[in-house]
Amino acid sequence: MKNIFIYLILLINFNCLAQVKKIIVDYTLYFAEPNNLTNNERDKIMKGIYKKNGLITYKLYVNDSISYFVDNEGLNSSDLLTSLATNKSLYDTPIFSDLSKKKIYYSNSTNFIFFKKNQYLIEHPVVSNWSISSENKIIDNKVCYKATSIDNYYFHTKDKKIEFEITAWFCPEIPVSAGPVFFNNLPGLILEISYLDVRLYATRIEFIETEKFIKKPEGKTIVNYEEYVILEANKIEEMTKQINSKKN
Amino acid sequence: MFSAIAMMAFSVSSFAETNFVEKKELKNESISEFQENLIATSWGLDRCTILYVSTYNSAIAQGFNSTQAGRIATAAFNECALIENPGPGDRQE
Repeated sequence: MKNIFIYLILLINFNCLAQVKKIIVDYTLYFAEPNNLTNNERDKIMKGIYKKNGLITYKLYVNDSISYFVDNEGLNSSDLLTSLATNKSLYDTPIFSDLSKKKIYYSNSTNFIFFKKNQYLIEHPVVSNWSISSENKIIDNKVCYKATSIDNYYFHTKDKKIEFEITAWFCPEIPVSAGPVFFNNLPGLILEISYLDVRLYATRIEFIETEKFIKKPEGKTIVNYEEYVILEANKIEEMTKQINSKKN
Repeated sequence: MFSAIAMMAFSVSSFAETNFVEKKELKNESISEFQENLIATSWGLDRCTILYVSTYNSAIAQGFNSTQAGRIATAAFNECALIENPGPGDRQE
């Protein structure tokens, strides 16, 4: 029954293939705010971050099987809290996805000062274990279906791997496998997604004739996500030891 | 040190002032050159770099993830670099 359902979705997808596949999507970020924040240093900053709830936006540019996800100046904001809030979605630098090759790339952030700009091109894993259900709802007058994925993860620090589930609502009527941040690879554009303590909602979809905004990120050395986490952690450990040895 | 960053994170007014933002934008170029020179030298551990590492480690200890720690530490580094490497209009004669 589930297989028949998936085939039906794919059939709808194929029938829509002739439609325009150059799209700009605006997403807005929302967080779940805990009610147990204290007055310690971290929670004071977190309170400031939560004030940005619903104010952080991103753009997803899609050109057929290529997509580019970028913040709307949040990370370049001179306001540290805005920058930290933008990062809550796990976004760090603009993300380039080649959906036909199932590849996701981004450059290292200049906020780690010991690596040069574009020193690394980081390859991020693609979500490949989506489970599509028949549950559906209307978003923006389009029928969207629910998909879930388990066993996703990110590294809070090198030694702390956080696993999480994702719930996404995708729309086969917009037949691109694109979505926000690192989440794509469904038979339709993802319009809503929730994971960890965040939710991203597509607030505007624009179909365009030409696409000029997609930029492939640069990096002298290609590493995968886990390798990059280790590189950063090892570099900080090395610098900490150097500083401590200077003090002694 | 981390408290100072927390205070800075909340000093929205200091970032909102147009003059301050304009000065900061003018200084961004000198800061990135400063950073490049810093990383290029074999032992460029000046005060600002030490502050970066200290703030980074402090943020991690406070429960921030590594990406957030990098942002917080960079904010501290940039503030330090502004003091260490002021623009021509800021020098005290």
